[in-house]
Amino acid sequence: MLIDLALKYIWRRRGRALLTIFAVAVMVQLHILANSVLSTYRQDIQRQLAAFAGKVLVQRLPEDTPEGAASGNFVNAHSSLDLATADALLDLPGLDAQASSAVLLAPLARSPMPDTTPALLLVGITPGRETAYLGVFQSAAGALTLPDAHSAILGAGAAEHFAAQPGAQITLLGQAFTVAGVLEAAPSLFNNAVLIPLETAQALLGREETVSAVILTAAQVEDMPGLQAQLAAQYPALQAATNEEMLRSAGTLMSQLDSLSSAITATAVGVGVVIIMIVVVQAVLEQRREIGTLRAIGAHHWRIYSLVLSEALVQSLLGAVLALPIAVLILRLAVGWDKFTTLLPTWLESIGLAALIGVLASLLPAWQAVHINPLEALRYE
Amino acid sequence: MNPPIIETKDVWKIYGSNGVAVEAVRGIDLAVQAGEFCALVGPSGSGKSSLLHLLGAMDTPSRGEVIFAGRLLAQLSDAQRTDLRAREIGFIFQTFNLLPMLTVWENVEIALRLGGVPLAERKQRASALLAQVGLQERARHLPSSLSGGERQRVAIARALANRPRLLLADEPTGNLDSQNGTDIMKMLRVIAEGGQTVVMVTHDFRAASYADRVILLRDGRLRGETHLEGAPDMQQTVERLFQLGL
Amino acid sequence: MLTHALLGLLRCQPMHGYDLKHALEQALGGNREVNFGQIYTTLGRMERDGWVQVAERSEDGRGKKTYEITSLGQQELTRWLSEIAEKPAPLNDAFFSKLLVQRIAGEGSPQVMIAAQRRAYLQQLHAVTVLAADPRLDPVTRLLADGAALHLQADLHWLDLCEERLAAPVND
Ligand SMILES: Nc1ncnc2c1ncn2[C@@H]1O[C@H](COP(=O)(O)OP(=O)(O)O)[C@@H](O)[C@H]1O
Ligand SMILES: [Mg+2]
Repeated sequence: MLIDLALKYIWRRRGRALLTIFAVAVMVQLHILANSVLSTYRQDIQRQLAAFAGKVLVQRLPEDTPEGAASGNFVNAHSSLDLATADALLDLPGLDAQASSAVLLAPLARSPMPDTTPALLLVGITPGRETAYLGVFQSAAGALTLPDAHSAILGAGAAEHFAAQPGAQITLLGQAFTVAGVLEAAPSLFNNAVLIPLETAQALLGREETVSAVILTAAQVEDMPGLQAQLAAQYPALQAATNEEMLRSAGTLMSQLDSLSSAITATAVGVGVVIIMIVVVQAVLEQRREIGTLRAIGAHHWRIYSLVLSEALVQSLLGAVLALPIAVLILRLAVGWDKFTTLLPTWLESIGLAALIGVLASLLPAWQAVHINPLEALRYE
Repeated sequence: MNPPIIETKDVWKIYGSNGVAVEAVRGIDLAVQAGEFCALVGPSGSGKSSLLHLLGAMDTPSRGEVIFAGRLLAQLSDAQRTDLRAREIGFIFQTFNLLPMLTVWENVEIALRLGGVPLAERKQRASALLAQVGLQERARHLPSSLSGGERQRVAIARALANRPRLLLADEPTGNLDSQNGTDIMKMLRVIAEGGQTVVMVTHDFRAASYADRVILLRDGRLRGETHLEGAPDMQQTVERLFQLGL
Repeated sequence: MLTHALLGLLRCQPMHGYDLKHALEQALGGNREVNFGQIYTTLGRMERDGWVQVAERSEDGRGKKTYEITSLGQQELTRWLSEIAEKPAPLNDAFFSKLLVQRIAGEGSPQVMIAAQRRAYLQQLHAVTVLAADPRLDPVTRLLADGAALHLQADLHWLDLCEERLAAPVND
């Protein structure tokens, strides 16, 4: 192998190599960034879906709602049910009444990402039936019940937003509320939620006659299919989403996210390959005479190939190593994201990606280098 | 009689550049026996380098055959010819062609590596080779800090690294002043006297006079040859030098 | 040349024959012995011509003479040094004469003659090249050796020309 020689060649043009490594690092960190953000988001969706296990969300979407539009956010703010229908639904047999409730949903603050849970989500819910929405999640502080008309339960994210603890006063749409309890850290749908009594919410939003949706929980898990069948028979105009259906539609979103992430990765690889290829093609051009000499004194093709491959790989791998600190820095500074649960595996994966970049980038220059004639050593005299 | 180390049979090299064919080598028959020190002398452009590249398995003839130790070069694969250059043929260039990024020692070591010598042996042999050309003190220097004569000595050590059966040299003194040129020729002479087969190409009769066999080349053809035997009698030479005037 | 070398030595100081021999040998780098008889006869001829004169005769039985340069001798030395040195005319090349005669007589072959001559020149060239490279060599002889090498190279190139014009190649 001629790796020592490759390192010396890189050292000879270290200024250029540094720029190349930096450019590759930027490309690889793009992959890390996209993957981290998207897979964090993906986990969030999955946990939300898990939290909805055993529940049916009944909504009536406006006629013009496109197919699958509700997929990401299971709860659609445009959905509207009249109170009579809501009451009838809650009277269906086989329900766990404590865990079933009509809800009124309204985004209070938008999320920076489209099609995701709002940064603050107002949830009007019948007091005493908070578990219909909160499900299995536990309290971090205070109680998860709404004691009076102007009390509120905050998700962890919402609590952070208001900097509020149980007992504190917050103002929503001009109305003061007392914080009754704060939820443990949970997926965004819960994390960003602000629960207040349903009637208060209806009054605040001027929607006394309607709710957004009804959350139904079957008393027994095996009652679910019957419940669904009944809903389908009696209320064909309503959309009843179970956690399985949500999973299915979320699958569409997730595969879209996957394609997006793959597209970003492919772009990163493509640009990385081009950058390294340009640099290594130029390097081979400058090394023609030396490569010719190596051929003349008996270097086989594979040695020349390994020389060029090493030059490409060293730069692409160093780029990958440099990509992690850059990605962390960007996530911290620009996005303020501090949940890097997937960062390390993504980074390890990007080492592999960098190796791929190196190999692909070396193909053209290696082909050129391998075809350098031993007589090349004797030209340019 | 053993087969020659290197032999050509009616070998031609014709370069075709933009429709103009240049006949650089025109039907040369040459046979060099083991142990010979052979000089090919001719003016610039007479096809010396072209012929040497054919002998060194660096180029392929347009016509005719080149036979190395009984093996027809045309029948060898590129990899086999590369192996030949690595192990059995040492090449010395007019322009030294050392690898500028590598130290003197590494330049010799890399040749051993290409010859497939194991690491431990490489270390010891590279140093021994440098000692042989009197450069052990410069082992850690880069070629750029060496004089032309020293660089050519490194190149000789490199060419000899894998104990080749044939040593080829293309104008080894062409880029050197006369003192350094003479030192290199003395070194080649010593190497040849150790039994090494050497084929050298030069336009310099002084360099050629160190060989045992001087072959004249002109316009791509051989023009006769001369065998030079025996060391010159120095005392007699000195006497002769003064004869003219005194 | 011997005449003028002796004049040059005597210009520095008067000397007797034996001193002159030593001084001359030293000036030539100490490689060559100069014939004493030759010095003796040359001195005699120079005395006759009035270029040198006897300055002193030793009183011992052998009567050793110390010579000194005369003003006539000084004039001759100056004239000789300023005169351009002539080389033998090109037509005087011995090998060329042989080629010429071979052509006239139609005997032998120019190819064989050229090949033999080339071999001799190459051998001589090797000798002077090796000599010039000898680090123990005195500078005078080295200059001569390098000069001889250059001449021989020119002769070898000229042989090529002769061969090209007169003969087809031949191996010896
Ligand atoms: N790669 C080449 N392409 C075209 N012509 C060449 C090439 N190499 C050499 N020649 C020509 O072939 C002739 C012989 O060249 P070369 O073998 O280098 O001679 P020498 O080494 O004796 O000077 C010259 O006329 C030269 O211009
Ligand atoms: Mg040449």
